[in-house]
Amino acid sequence: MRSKHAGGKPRSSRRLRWLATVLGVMVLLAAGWPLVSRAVSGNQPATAGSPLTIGLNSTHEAQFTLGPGWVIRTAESDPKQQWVLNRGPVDMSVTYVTLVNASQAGQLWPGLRNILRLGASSARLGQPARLISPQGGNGQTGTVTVNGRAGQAVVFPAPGADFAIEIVSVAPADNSAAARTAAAQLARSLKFPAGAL
Amino acid sequence: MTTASGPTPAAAAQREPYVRTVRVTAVVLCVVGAGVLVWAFYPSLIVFPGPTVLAVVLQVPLLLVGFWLFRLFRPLRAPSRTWSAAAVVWGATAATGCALLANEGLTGLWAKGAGVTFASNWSAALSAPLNEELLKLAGVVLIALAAPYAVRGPVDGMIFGALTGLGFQVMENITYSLNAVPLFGATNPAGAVTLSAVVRVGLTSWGSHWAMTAVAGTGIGYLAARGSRRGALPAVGCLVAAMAMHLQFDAPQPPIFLKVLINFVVVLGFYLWLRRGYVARARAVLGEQVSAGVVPRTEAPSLLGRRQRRRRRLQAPPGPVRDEVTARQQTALDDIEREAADAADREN
Repeated sequence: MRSKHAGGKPRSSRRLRWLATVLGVMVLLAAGWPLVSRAVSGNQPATAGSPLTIGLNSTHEAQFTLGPGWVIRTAESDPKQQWVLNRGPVDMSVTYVTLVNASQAGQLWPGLRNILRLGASSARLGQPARLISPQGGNGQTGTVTVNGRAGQAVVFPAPGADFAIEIVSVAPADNSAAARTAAAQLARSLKFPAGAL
Repeated sequence: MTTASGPTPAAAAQREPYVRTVRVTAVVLCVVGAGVLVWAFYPSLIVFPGPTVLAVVLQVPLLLVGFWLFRLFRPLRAPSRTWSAAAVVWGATAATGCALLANEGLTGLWAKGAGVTFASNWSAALSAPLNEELLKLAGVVLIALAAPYAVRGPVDGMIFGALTGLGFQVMENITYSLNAVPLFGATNPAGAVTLSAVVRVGLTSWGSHWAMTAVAGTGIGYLAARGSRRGALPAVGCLVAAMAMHLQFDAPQPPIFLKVLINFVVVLGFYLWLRRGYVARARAVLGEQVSAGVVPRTEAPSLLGRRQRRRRRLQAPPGPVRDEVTARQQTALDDIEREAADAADREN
């Protein structure tokens, strides 16, 4: 009555083959996908002057435009959460953050300081200065240094303060002016279609 | 029947040389997975120590309740506590750590190949079912290899699958809570962690990883009971079903409560069907053993229920007599579980 699998001679070799299969699958998944992904180029040229959208839906989104020469790093970008961009020595991220209530908008700058520290413990964010967008929105801006790279950070809450856009642009120290200019240009192009600033 | 003297088949199997190799390999993989997780989330502990501890603490109730409940779901008696814990640890370390690497690679590929908009909607649904279901299932396979006789049939596979999925789910919930902090701009880290935990424990946990891996793990039970040739088809079927459950869970539509409900109903229906067959076979085996005089007729009525067995033990005076009753119950249950593990075995 009992299955033949219960007793009999040990089946070490068969079981070791199962073990080898498990190991093979795990290595294939955990090392194979990252290796293949690394081998495939993830840079896509951005269309200059064409608006890019970031946000969860039409009522919670912002739009911005890029100048010529920008490249989208597709593997790290998600139109709902973050665009990761590059132009020459400048690396820039545009990030959507959710705010549960309007009072949290005042915590965006110290929050950004901590978020930057998650990526690099040496990251430093300078004191914020007020920044008014061309549409009249109130934002904050300040200097940023990360791993020997320097640039500018910008934070803009949406008109309803239920979400915000954070821009961080850095480049090697001798190109930090280019990074600051890039952040300023992007901030000037930022629009919140669902509400006028 | 298993005799009281001499090594049981289970004990003999524990001494097989491959068992040690499997166990050592599994431990190494758990350490590697835990290392990956520490490497990925150590900065959170440094920058947000309080919210990180909170993220862990908020998952403890789910872990404890799930562990208790899933072990209770095994008919007749709970599976070994050690191997149940091993399943959870695998899910929480080796599977989660490796999934972190695998998912990052594959989701990146979707974005590069199909564009960021497609990847934003579909990369999770097309990556996680493949990577995560295989990585979690690897834990059930290793338990079947490392603890011969722990996985005897589909019900055992389902229970160990659920436990492995539980470990994965708990660790994933912690990582989601930590990832929620920057998603909310780190404006209220404790609030972000709590909100994420409430949604993932209160809503999605009802049909998440435990349910998917329970279904996939059932297939390993079929393999253990029927061997590679006759068990392969149901095993593949269970894995594909688990991947389908995972795909619909991560897909952009339908609404999340409906996805959770679908997975919950699927796994509950599957469990009840398997359990009914298991209990019916157990009753039949018990009847045969009573007829053969292996189990005393007076003990048979109390043998298949946890509470009845306990009552029967307590009726015996403490000391050697009670110990003897306990030993008799365990020996009889060993035989019944072996015979009742799978319908195919009863047909042989």
